[in-house]
Amino acid sequence: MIDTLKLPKDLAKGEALIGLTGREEVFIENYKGILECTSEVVTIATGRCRVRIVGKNLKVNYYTNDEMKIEGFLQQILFL
Amino acid sequence: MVGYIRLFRGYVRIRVESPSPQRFLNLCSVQDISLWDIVSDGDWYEMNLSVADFFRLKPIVKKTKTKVVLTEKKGLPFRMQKWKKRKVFILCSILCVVGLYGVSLFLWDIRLVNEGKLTSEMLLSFLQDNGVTYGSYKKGIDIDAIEKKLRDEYPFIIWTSLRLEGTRLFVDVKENDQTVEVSDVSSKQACNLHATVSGTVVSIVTRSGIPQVQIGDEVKKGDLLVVGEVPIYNDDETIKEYMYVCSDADIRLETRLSYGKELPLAYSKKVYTGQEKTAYYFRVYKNSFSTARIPDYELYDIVTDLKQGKILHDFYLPLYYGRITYQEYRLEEFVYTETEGRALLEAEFQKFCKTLQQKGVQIVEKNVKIEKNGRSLRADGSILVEMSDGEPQIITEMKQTGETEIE
Repeated sequence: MIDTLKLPKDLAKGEALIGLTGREEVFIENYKGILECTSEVVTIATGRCRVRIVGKNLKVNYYTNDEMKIEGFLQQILFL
Repeated sequence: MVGYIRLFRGYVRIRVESPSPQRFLNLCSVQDISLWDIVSDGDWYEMNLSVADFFRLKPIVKKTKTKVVLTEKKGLPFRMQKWKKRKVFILCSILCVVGLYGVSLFLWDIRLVNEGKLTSEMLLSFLQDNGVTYGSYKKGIDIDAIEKKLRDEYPFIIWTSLRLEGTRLFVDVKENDQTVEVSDVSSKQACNLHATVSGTVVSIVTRSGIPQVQIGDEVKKGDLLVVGEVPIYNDDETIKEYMYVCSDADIRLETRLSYGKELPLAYSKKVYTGQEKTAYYFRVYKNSFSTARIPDYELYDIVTDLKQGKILHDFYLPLYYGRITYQEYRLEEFVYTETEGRALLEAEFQKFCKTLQQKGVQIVEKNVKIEKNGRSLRADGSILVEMSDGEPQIITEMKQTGETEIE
């Protein structure tokens, strides 16, 4: 149905959009909220799962209702 | 850009301590409160938010039982509050901005790019005559009109470009490299060709007119070389009429030019005493002042090192500064040795020959000797040269033997 109507999957399924710039920046859209935020771990609740970003010196560059950007030295991105 | 907008609107940095900081962040997000630069150290969170959003935090703080501490205030609104106590500073800043704007309306630097016949002095004088000088109102300068006038006034200029950049005016001028002899005689006027020097005709190629000399003839200054009065004969070889043309011919004459140059062996030369005085010099528009008086040296050179004040690349100001050095000297008498004197005269003669060659004169023979004459050296002699000749002169008296026709 989604494929037939050519709907964007993030909107239709409520999936998060995650974009990476090297291992220094990560952009996240379509999330529900922050569950954990320290300089080593940032956990975000999305529509279907949780996304855990593990790294060093992590900093939330900006955080709005629509999108957020995390900067730091990224080591792992886990889907829980 | 976003950073500048935030600074303009003003923002605060807060430290948050809460039993559930994530809830605080999420509630902010839901309430459309933008947060940035969020840093955590386990027990506390630090973040930035706009001033307007800060006042909307109260219900969230209450709901999450959070402790919020204001750590920093940044941006223009907070800066303005500080500046309220510094009215003179603000006033001077405003005056400075207004002054700079005022100065930017005028022309404070003229850059010339020119080579050849049109010297910088001539160009500056021309610009001044047309109302373009230091301190001219920029909007009053009609660039197109000045460019046209410049080309009209100096026919050898083939391309001009005037452009304003900041408070500077760039003037680029290109001259025609091929020198065209501008004669008072137009090609439509009947004229003869006369010799300007005495000599022997080496070659003559006549395009119009009747040649009066042949190869090998001796001519004197002022002699007629080509005549523009061409007779037209009847069948019985009587002259029917005269046709007047503008004589045109390539005539080369071999002539002897005399050369004489005297060089006194004794000469005076500046010897700097080592005494010098340096002063700082300032000039604002036409008013100048220096940090020291002119020293009471009898003879001195003035060495000026001036710089023009500017902001950024092209914003030149009517402000000049630099150093002036007064260097004392005395004149002392020296005497050239004969070898030095000969070398100087030789160099002078070579320069003279080079100038002749640049004018298209071919040197056939040089016969110049340098001799000592008491307290001076004298170069005397002559140079045999081959040069183009033939000066046009308009024919004023025309013979009325019938209809005259000008080719």
